[in-house]
Amino acid sequence: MNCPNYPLKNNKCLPMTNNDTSIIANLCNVSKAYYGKTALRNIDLTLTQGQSYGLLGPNGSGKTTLMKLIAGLHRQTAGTITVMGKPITWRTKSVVAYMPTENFIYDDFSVESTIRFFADMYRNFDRQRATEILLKHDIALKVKVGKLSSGMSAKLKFIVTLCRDAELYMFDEPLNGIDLLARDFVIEELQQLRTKQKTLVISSHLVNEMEQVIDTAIFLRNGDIARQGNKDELAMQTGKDMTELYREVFNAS
Amino acid sequence: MLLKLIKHDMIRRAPLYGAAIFTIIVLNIITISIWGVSPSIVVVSALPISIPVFFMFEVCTAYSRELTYKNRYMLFMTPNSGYKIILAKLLSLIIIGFFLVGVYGLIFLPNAIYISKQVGPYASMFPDVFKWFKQQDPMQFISLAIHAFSGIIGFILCIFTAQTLQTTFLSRIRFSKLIALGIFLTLLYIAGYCFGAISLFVQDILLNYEFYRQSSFIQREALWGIPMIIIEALGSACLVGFNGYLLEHKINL
Repeated sequence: MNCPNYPLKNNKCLPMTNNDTSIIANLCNVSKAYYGKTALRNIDLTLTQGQSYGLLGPNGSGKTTLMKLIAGLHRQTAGTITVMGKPITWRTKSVVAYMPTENFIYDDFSVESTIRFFADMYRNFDRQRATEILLKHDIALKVKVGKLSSGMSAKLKFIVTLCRDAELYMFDEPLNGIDLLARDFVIEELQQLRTKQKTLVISSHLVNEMEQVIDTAIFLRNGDIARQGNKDELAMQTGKDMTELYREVFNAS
Repeated sequence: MLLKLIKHDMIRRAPLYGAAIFTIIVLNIITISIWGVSPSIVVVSALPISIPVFFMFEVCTAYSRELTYKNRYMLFMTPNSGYKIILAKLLSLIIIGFFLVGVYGLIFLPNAIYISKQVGPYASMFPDVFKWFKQQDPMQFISLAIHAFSGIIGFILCIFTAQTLQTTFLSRIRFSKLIALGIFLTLLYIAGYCFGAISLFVQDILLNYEFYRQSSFIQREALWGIPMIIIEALGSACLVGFNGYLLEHKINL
């Protein structure tokens, strides 16, 4: 087991005692099983400040489960997860901004009500910025979320997640269902978060587009980390770009 | 934050409740204008009764929707403890319940006054009813209202508990809805049985005392009713705590 930030006692992870503030999230020997099916198996992972991580893998490899565990929407079956040195509770949700792949915003809310909801629920939500970006993208504030096109809904959920001043941002398929121009906007905003030294976890099937915003690639296969490393180092070691490496890792399985 | 949760819950439900109340009022007016006052009892009671029926339907489905629909993440990603979320859900239903009682009265009273003026045979019915009410001990109705109120809260919490269990321990089990229904019915039976047994126990103890046997109805009600209300409140608090614990520690959304 490789948990540099956890002391071990009787082969169990103990809560982190060091005060390394550069560590945003730490997963030690984390497993998640759903009544017979293992979604994640003995995952050890450390997310450090200012780094951008790409979760890569086919459907059902455990990418979403991993994000939901860190977001506090799932509970692990085994192992320990900490965010900013603390175990996952409702308090850690204030520093984690997670955008699920589903259009999670209430259909019966207007866009304006959604903004109000986020402003009320998250102290770190920038209401003015959210309104400005939405209007820039021609998303009317009075319209009901349920009436928005799938592309507009995708943009809305991205914008409300983006406009939080969190420590860790997790985007599950941020490029799903949006047009080319909106993709440029998403990529640009993700780059902006990197320059602000925020920690990013991004999962996407569009490996080549994600390549420009990630520092570390984590290849997940059947709930295991099949390969992990700095994007540039992996490219140097193998002489392959991310797409080729993706094919190599998953074709071999 | 609790108040903000309640506020947004209300904002979400407002259009649905507004539409339902508007429909009931329009149906009420149409019924009276088409059939006149001949089906007076139906007009007085049946249409307004659709309000509590609608409320119960909402009680059964509102929390379940929050846990199982695609937008379930919206609430559970917020930095609010499970205890706060379940309490907010309960309190908003209580507020809506009181509001609907008011709406019921507003529809019922004009109907009653109108019909009592129009219909000969029924003209004396309402004054007779009011006379009967006046003859009764008001404490009887207060006591009945308090027990009915705590009974409704217990009923709502039994539904909540079954639905919370469905999203936690039973989240990945086949037929989880059916099992949750079974749990709900079992909980309801246990709650009813416990209430009956404790009620008899308290009464048996009190009957040993001379002052209880010789006391008036109001005094008896106070001596028996107050401990029972405390027990009911404790039972409800336990269910809120249990639901909050599950949402906080065992959730699988």
